[in-house]
Formats: sequence, C-alpha cells, structure tokens
Amino acid sequence: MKRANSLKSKTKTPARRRARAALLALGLATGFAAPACVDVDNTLPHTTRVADWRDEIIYQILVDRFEDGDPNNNWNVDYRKEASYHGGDWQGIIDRLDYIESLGVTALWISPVVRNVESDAGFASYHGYWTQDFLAVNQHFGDLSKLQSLVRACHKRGIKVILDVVTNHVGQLFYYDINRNGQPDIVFFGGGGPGSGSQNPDFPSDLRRASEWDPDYDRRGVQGFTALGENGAAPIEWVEMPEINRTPPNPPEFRNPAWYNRKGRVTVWELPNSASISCTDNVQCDWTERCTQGDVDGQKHCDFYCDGGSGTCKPTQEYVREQEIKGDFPGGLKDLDTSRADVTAGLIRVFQYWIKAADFDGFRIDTLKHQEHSFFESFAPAMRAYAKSLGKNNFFMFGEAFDGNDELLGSYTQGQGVDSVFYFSYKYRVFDNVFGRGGAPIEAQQMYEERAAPLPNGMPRYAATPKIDGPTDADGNGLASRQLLVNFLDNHDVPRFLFSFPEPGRLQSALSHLLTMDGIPCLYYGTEQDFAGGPDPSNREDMWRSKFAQSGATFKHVQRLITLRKQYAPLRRGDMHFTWASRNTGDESDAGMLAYERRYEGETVLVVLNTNAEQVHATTLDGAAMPVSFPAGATLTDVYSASGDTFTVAGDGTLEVAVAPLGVRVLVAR
Amino acid sequence: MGIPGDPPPVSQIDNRFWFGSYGRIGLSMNGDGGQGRPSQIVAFGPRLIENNYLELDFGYLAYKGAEANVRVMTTLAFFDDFFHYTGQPTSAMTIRQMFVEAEKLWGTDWFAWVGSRWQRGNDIYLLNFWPMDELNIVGAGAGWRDARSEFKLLVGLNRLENGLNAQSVPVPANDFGATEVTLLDRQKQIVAALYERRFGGEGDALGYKLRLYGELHHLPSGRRALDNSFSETEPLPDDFGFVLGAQFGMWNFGKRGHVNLWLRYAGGLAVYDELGTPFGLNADRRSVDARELRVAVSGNIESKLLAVQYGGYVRHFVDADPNKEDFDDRVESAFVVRPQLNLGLFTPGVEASVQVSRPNGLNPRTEAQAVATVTQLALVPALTFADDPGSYSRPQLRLIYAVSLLNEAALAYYAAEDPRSKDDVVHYLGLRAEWWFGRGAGF
Repeated sequence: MKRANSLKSKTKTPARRRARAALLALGLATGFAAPACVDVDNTLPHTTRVADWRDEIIYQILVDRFEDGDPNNNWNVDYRKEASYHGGDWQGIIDRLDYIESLGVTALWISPVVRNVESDAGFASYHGYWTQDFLAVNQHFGDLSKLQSLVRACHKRGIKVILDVVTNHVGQLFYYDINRNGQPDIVFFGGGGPGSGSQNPDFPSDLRRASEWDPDYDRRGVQGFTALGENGAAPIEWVEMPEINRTPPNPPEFRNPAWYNRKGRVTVWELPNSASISCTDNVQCDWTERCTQGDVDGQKHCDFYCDGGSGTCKPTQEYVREQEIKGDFPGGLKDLDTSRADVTAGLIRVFQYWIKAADFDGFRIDTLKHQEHSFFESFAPAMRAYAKSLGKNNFFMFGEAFDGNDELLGSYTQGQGVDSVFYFSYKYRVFDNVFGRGGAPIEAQQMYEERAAPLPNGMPRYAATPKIDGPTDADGNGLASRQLLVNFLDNHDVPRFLFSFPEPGRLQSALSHLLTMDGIPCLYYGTEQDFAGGPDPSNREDMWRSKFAQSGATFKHVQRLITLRKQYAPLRRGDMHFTWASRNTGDESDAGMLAYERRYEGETVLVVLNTNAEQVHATTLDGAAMPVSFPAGATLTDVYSASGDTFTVAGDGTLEVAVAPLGVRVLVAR
Repeated sequence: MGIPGDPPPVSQIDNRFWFGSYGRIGLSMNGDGGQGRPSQIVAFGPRLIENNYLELDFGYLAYKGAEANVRVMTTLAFFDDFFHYTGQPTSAMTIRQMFVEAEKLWGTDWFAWVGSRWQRGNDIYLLNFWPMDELNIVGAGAGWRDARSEFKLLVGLNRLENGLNAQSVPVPANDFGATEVTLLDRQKQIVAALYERRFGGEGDALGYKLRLYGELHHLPSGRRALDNSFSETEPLPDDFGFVLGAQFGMWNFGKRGHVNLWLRYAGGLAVYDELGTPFGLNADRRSVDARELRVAVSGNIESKLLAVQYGGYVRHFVDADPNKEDFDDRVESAFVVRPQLNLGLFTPGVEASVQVSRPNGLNPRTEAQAVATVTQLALVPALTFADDPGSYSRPQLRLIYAVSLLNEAALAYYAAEDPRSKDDVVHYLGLRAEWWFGRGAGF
C-alpha cells in the first residue's frame, strides 16, 4: 500500500514562490508568458455529499467509449474493432460535464480505473474488468491526478462519482500447468474412438482435452494429468508478458497461489445448458461419480438430478452456487478465494485506498453472485467504517448479481452486506416483459408486493432493516436495501433496450417508469441518444458519434422526467401505491395502463402510464374508474405535458385519465 | 568553442581534398561489472558517460574561381556499437551531412548551399547540448558572412516515418498483388534565420558577439486512414511552431576564456526535436500549445596550470495536451563544472554535476509528485596531446571514475523491476578517448 502513503500534499514554499516569480519575470522579459509550475492538487476534501441516495440518478459511463479528451493516452487504440480500446478517457468526461449536467443525472458510475491486462485472445481490456494491479490506474484513461480532477470537477457541480470495483477475480494472469511442461497448452490425450479419429477404433482410449488457460471446473481443484493418468493438483504458473501487461498481480500479496480457488472455469449456470442429457431418473444423471452421502438423511446427493418436467439432467442449485462462487469467471478470470480472511483483508485495504485516493462516493461491485455472502459481511462494513473515518457518510455500495432470481438478489442485501443490488428481476419481468413486449402491467404491482412479502423462511426478500452506518435519508434515518434498489433498463452486459425492442416509443415509455418509480434509477450512457447496440461488445458504442446532441426526443424526454423527479420529492422518496395495474394487453379500455401514487410527507404525485403501443387507453374498465387518494373535486395538472392538461377527481374519489400510446402523465394537485 | 560542426572556410583549405573527424570511443563498467551507463533524468545530462560515436568528414574543393569557390562536403556518422563488442559486427551508419556549397559568389560575401546540413551554433560541450540552434536540415541555405557578421536563411523539409506525418497502406494493384499507396504525406517545413554580429576580439582584445535566431515550423493538414479500406479517416489539422533565441558571447578574457549566455523561447512543433515525434498533443492532435523556455550558460577560463570549464541550463517544458497536472511537463536543469590541471601531457581533472527535474504531475509508478535529483562527482585523470593543453585540447585519453547519487524520486524514473531503480549510489569506471581535428576554427 505504498501509494497510499505517498500521497502527500504539497505546500508552496517561499523558495518555490521565488522560482515561480523568476520564471514569470523571465517570460515577461521575453515578451511571452512563461510556462507555469504546477503543484499537483491532491487535496481531496472527503465529506458526505449525499443527503439521500434516493435523490440520485445514476449515469453509467464506460470510460473508454464516452469521450476522447486526450489523444496522448490512445495506446493500442483501434476504433474499427468493437473489442479494442477506442480512446475515451477521464479528460473526455470532464470535457462533457456540461452535457451530463444538462441531462440532469446526479451521479456517475464510471468503469473500473485499475491497471488491467492489456488484451487477451484479441480482446482488449477497455472495459476495465481484468485487474492486474489493484493500486495503479489504467493509463489509457489518464493518471491519478486526472482521476482526482474528474472527481473534483464532478463534485464541484454536485455530481457524485461511483467507482466500479471487482473483488471476485483478477485478469487471466496465470494458467494451470496441467501437463506440467511449463508452458500454456491446449492438452489432448487419448484417441476417443472412431468418431474422434482414433487410430485404434477397436480399443480406443478416452479422449481428454483441456485448455490450460481456462479448464473446466473441478471441485477438487484443476487436476494435472498426463498419458499415465491424473497426478494431483495442477500447479499454477504466472504469466510474464509485459508487452500486454500480463504479469503477476500487484500488490505482491496477490501472488500467493493459495489466494485463488484454482478450480477452473464455471461450466454450469442457472439454466441447463444445451448439452443436457435426457433422463428418466436421477441415476442417469450421476455421471460425475461425485455424489456424496448425506450426513443427516443418509441419502445420496449428486450434482445433477433428473428434472421430471423437462426430462433432462439439471445441475442442483447447490452445485450451481458452488461453481459460481469458486469457479473462474468465463474468459479465464482467476477467482480469488474470498472465503479466506487474508484475501478479504487484502481486498479491503486496496479498495480503502481508492476511497481515500480519489474521494469516491460509492462502489458498484462487479459479479456479486460469484462471491460468498460472508465476504461482503466483512468487506462492506469495513468500507463504511473507513469512509466514515474520512468524514464520508452515506458511502453507497451496490452490487451486480446478474440473475433474475429475486431470492438470490435479495440475499446479498441481508445482514451488513452491500446496501443494494441491481434490480435484475425487475428489468426482466417489468421493463422487458411489460414495456418491451407489451405484457400486462399488473406484473409491476405484483413485483412490488413480492418485494415486501417475506420468503418462505420468514426472511424479507430484500433487507428491510438499515445497515449499521449505512445509507440514511436527509434526517439521518437509516434506509433499508428494499428502498434503495437500483433500477435499470440495460447496461454494458445486456443488449440495449432498443436492440431488443426497436421502438423508441417503448424505450421512452420504459424510461417514464424508470424515472418515476421508487428506488434509484440508473441510466446507461447513450440510452438518451437512442443507442441500439446488441449484446456485448456491440452495446458499448462510442458516445462521441452522437455528437452529444441535446435535441433528440429521447434526450428531451429523459431531461424532462429528471427535472420533475428533482422538483417533486415524492417522485424520489415517496412510497409506491399502485392505483391501477391492468391485466389486459388487447383492446380493452385499460389495456397496458399502469398508475401509481408516490406519497411523501403529505405530498402526492400520481403517475399514469400507457404501455400499450397502439391505442389511447384510460384508467377505466367496465365502468369502474381508478380510485385515487386525492380528495373529490381536486384538480390535478399534468406537469409532464407541455399543455398542462388538467383532470378533476370525481365525487366518488376516482379519476379517469386517458393517455396516448406509450405516453405518460405526471399529475400533481395545484 | 566546443566541437565545431562546420568545415573550415575555403581559405584554410590548402588542397582540394579535406578530411576531418570527431570521435569518442572506449570501454566502461559499472560497480557490478556491467556496462557503464549514465544516470540521466533530464533531456541533456553530463556527457562524461556516453556511448561510442564517430564522424568522418570528407570534403573536396570542386571549383575555385573568381566568381565562386565550390566544395562538396560529406559527414559519415557511426553510432554505437560499431565494434565487435557484441559479437555481432554490425553498425548503424548514416550520412549526416552532404551538401554542395558555393561561397564568394560573384566575388562577394554571399554564399549558398543545397543538401543535408547541420545548423549548429555554439554548444555546452559538457552537456553535448546546443541550447539555441541545432537543426538537421535537408534543404538549402543562403547568406553572407564577413569578418564581423553573418546572416543565414535556411529552409528545410522532413517527413518523419510516424503516424502523424506519413501513412502508407497496401491496396490492390491494378494487375496482381498489392501496391503501397501513400495516403498521409505531410512534410514539415522549417525556415530558420540567424544573424551574428561580432565586436572586438582582434588579437588578445576582448571580443563579444550577439546572435539572434529564429525558426518557423509548419506542418500542413492531412487525413489518415483508420483502416485499409479508407472507409474511415480522421483529419489531422495543420500545426505550427516557432523559436526565438538570443545569444550573447564574450571571449578573450584570461587565457582562452569565453562565456556564452542563451535565452530561447519556443512554441508548438519547435519545442520538440525536429527529428522526434511530438507528444502531449491537444485534442486536435496539434502541438501549438506546447511551450519551452530555456536559459543556458557555458564557459571556460584557463590559467597556465588550471582550466575550468562549466555549463548549465534551466528548461521549462509544457506540452500541448489538456493536462495541467502532467508528468510530461516539467522544469529541469543540469549544471556541470570540470576543473582540469594542465601538467604538460598529464591533465587530471574532476567533474561535478547536478541534475534536477521537477515534474508538474505524478510519477505514474509512485503516483507522487517529487523533485528528482542526480548528483555526480567524477575523477578524470587524462593525457592530453597538445602543445599547450587546455579544456578543448584533443586528442585525449581518459580514465574516468564517477559516482552518482540518486534520490528516491530519481530512482522512480526506472521501472520497478529495473535493478537500477534500487541503486541510489552508482559507480562508473571508464577508459575513453576523444578527438577532433580538421573541423574548422573554434575559440
């Protein structure tokens, strides 16, 4: 942690002032301005900058793709290749803060800043997730003082900065020397029979193949083998390829092989893979021959079971979780054994450094579901305590558990773990199904109710209890994870919304919900520019190609909704009360209608959305109109519409609001 | 003073052929028995520890008449390592100068030349540094020179093989195979002017001179392809540079005493070596905002027994990129002094020097801003072969022992894995020879 200690403030000494004056005089004598001496300003006033994270609107920036402000760090840049560095940097973000501020977002989530393996198999580390040095900056984006300048410039405008951190793995820095020949190979043994080209089809030997870079998961640890058979755990060999910065990790503590799980690459996921084997009973799924005898029930437990519904072998949930947590991330990203106290302590130290070094306001934590809950029970409190010791309360940590399983997502918010997670399940079930595919809006209400409902074991689905020293509201009252879920339509890991649902109207409708619902909205850069890239890496477009235009309909729509969210506290902090959530998706009068009230400290805002793309629909069905909490006779004004349409609450306390296809109305009492 | 770069005037050539040379050769080791290498943290450090180098000058008086004298001049240069030291007897060789000059045109003081030629004024010998004017011109020049003054106007071009000046891409040939197409073809144009006026200096009289110097650089705009199909290109706007320099010199005080003072202010392209690729460009990939200010001094004073040579400079450099806090931007300086005893053939000397570099940004390795210093002390017992040896007498055979002290910030200039990054005390032992002859008159 030497760097942390080397960040000393520089003060101006009389000698330095005299030298500067001499240079100035020299410049004047020559009739020109002399170049200026510059003291690096690394004074970072760590302080609490967030009153209530629900007030924030996060804007996700993939630094390499946002803006190229300094061509001098464009090393290995190739604009033509989607998987290469493109030249974006922190100076580029500084240059575009006017644009960001104009859009209205209040917090930036920037992609990882640490030094990476430069490239792997023709793909570059422009995204930043292939850590080689936890304490050095990635010079593609600038130096440390530039990063500090970015954070300082953001803070000056009231914009917070969230750092993307990876605690699960490092880049592909070692290989498993399976055949123990001291070089990385693709290892083959055996003939495999006639179909595999065996020279002895009558008595073929088994065909075995393994990539020493990225071998399949093995619970015992990746095993070495030769033609004579397995020979124990394969040693790992650090790679020395300085030309692409594929060298052992830094700080040196991370070079301890025992700090890695060394079990190989995850091969089973939540969903059965296409190679699933047909079966009629569990015995047919016991090919792993690693079934264990249960201690309690005495039953045989295997990694796979026969799913009666599909008639195929599927991995058990336990086996999936084991691989997720202990396996290398695809691409050979080596999995840290974060169950170890020393690894946890090492990660705590390196990421504490970044809070201090660059005054970040929060962490977005990568690959959350690939780590033990226990890790975050140590890591998150340590970060909170450290930030607090610097004078920074409300340090916010939210994680990416790339999964639609609410129970899994919520599990990471329990205890003293992370403050929040990306609401992936909502993205799939509501933003994609309802706003993208035109599904019934009732799904939104059901998910909201599920969020509050306990799990079968009595535990809340998402933590309902605030964390110690965790996020609070402006009055210092703790906020629970359930109130702080991070909502999003898309991100750098999934196709853009417009790719999956190529209608700008649908995108705008989804944005209407994103920016008026509870939780914390997170907007992926370029969404406001109607970017429509497909799966990674196509969804990582160069933002500068949009010319940062501010005249597009989607840009103006986002800008307007953010303005309203800032103007009306209920839209930020209010509870959700669904007043209309249609089950219909056809020609019914309310098909596609979704309405909810946001209530906060006696103030209410009513949001009415029509997710139907074809027709004007209203909050009425079979003669019944929408009940609202506003008093009878109250006049509500649509503050979203330019014309300021008004609606009057009927004597029975109901309200019928018609909304154009994919439109939105934001109604307030005046 | 220093190593003259120009051939002698025709009047000093006593036959049609002319030969001159500059060279430095030798062997060295560091404290561990490895190659001796300088500990240098500034653009121009002490030259005491330097590589082998050889120049061979060949001239021929091609024409001598009432209306002009014409000579052809060639300088062949060899760069380290040109011996069999590595077991691979190869050498890097180039023709650094080759020009045809006509002087005394029409019987006047006018002269003109065409070809490749240095424009070099006076140097700081101890730093191997020409602080005001050093150009490697491929072009032409004209001017006049008389006993008291000289005026030169030079024009030159270069087109460096880098992505900013030239780009060639293969395209399908009209018949078979591929042919190279030069898409980006930006020649840098340089115009330089020098005026020198000398006063006094006759015999033992005090002499002094004033030299004014300027350069203008221009690089035209162009486009370069981002791929071989030319489907995507990016513009490269034109770029500029300038130099304004002044030198004041005095000589004939004491025995072979002289001193030169320089002030040089440069901008844009002219901030960088004209054979180097500009770095730290602005967002438009231009260097126009780069600035450099140099102040330098060099001198020598001698008595019968003692000669003291000294030199130094302060240089403030800011590149053109938008980074105000920038490790590339810096103030740096080097000062060196070399007293030498003249005991006949034996001319023992010592040399003391200090280098200081103060960056405007963080060292990317340590992420700290710190002033780097290298202090060096050297013992230089030497044999000098001259009737009345002094600082600039050559040939010379030298034994050099030098010790350099590097502070922590200086060590951080090396990569962390470089063993030198841990050597805060560096020893050097060298046996070296240096000569020059037939290279024109100096002080």
